[in-house]
Amino acid sequence: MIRVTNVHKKFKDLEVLRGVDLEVKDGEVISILGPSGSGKTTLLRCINFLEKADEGEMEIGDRKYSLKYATKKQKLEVQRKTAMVFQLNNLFANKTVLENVTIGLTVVQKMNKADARRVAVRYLEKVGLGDRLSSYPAQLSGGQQQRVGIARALALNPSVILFDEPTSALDPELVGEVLSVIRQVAEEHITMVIVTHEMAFARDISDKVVFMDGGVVVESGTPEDIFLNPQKERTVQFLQRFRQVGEAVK
Amino acid sequence: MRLDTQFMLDSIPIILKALPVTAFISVFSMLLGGLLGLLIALIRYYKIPVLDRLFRVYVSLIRGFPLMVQLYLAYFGLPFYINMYCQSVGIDNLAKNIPPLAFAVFAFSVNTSAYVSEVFRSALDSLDKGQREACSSIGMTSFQTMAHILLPQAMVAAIPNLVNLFLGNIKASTLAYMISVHEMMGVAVVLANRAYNYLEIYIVTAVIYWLLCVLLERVFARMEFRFSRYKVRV
Ligand SMILES: Nc1ncnc2c1ncn2[C@@H]1O[C@H](COP(=O)(O)OP(=O)(O)OP(=O)(O)O)[C@@H](O)[C@H]1O
Ligand SMILES: [Mg+2]
Repeated sequence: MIRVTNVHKKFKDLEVLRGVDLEVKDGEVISILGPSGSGKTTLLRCINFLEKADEGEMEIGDRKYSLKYATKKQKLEVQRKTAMVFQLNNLFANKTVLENVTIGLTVVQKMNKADARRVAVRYLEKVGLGDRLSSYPAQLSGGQQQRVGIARALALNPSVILFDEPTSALDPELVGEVLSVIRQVAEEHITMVIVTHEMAFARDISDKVVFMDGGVVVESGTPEDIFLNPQKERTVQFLQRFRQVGEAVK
Repeated sequence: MRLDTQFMLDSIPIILKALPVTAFISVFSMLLGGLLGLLIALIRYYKIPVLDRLFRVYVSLIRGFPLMVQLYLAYFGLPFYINMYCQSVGIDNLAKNIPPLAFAVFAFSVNTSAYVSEVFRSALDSLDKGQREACSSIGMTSFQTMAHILLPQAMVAAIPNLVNLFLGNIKASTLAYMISVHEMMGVAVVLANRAYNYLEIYIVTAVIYWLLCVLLERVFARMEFRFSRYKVRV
């Protein structure tokens, strides 16, 4: 279980998060929706300590951390229990596909080389890249790169994987392959938080949907609650805008 | 004016005999200066208090002084302090046993370190912050991030500039003859002094240095190609 409470974050005068609470049970898949600028990325970054929150607590399992006062050691501890899949995959350019996945295992988890390789190959096969082990990231398509990023996160066997719009930087024809990998991971009950603008996808795979706006969680519930029966005006407007855009595209 | 071509041809092997001295100065000042420069770059990259400011001044001074002045300062200035130190601890003057070559390597290393530090610093700055964040996100320490991800890429990014510095060093090493180091230029000038064939000698040395640089450029270009293979889309 991972739970964050009362997360506040300001950039200069801009209040980006204004008291966000979020709870993810083990094996649960949660999607975070919300308009651009609502603070979704910032929330994930605060959870992963890539950004220091101004206020807030976090619990992972039976451990508690302050998002503001965590020590260097605590940050590392949290970062080792969580993994992030970025919008731009941020693969290590000087490492092969295989090394991108093994490096977390050997360097961070101190696993021996042979075991790390075995684990890495297993996950790379799972994301359909078993035949590209010795390629470098520059030699892969965007979709393939993103799948390596997912394998890198999975291999570490984290308590939770945080996805920040994993498909929004991809060419449209590559979105499908990445979503289907994530869907497959979701079916294995790996704990995940996914920020996404892919509504249909979020509805399909999520146990819970969270709608954020203006730095707060406006509403959360099952996909049916949020998509079919939203309670808050802002949620309704947001979803309506999406339906219109969706129809306009069709 | 007629050039004495026989003299020119005869001088080539004599000058080339001093190639090891030229190579010694260039290679060692590149190695020592490179290591020191890397250290300075890291100190400045991590903004380590006090040292960061100290080396900022160091880099600015070194880059602002003419190299010749640095060479003279090392050659005439250092022995003075070494003597002072020797006297204070009551041992014999060590400085007079130090060969001029050592002062040349010292001066060129110091000079190189300032330039190398800037090369590495801009190479480190040029790396996107995404990879650094990816390292953090999987729990790598900042040392691990530097050692496995940032430094290897910065090294490759720095190769062209380091090669330029090295070629510059080879040519700058000719200054060492001013403090009576017998590298190629020093030997060449001595040859010319005998019969005042300065023009011939300068032409010969120019060609030798040019060929040396062209050859090395080739070698290093191949090296860079090998190390930056990971960037190539195939
Ligand atoms: N490092 C930063 N410095 C200053 N402002 C920032 C920084 N990071 C984010 N912001 C601002 O904080 C607000 C929230 O940004 P955030 O990236 O969290 O939004 P988001 O919900 O992820 O939006 P999107 O859907 O466009 O990705 C934005 O107005 C953004 O400009
Ligand atoms: Mg975002």
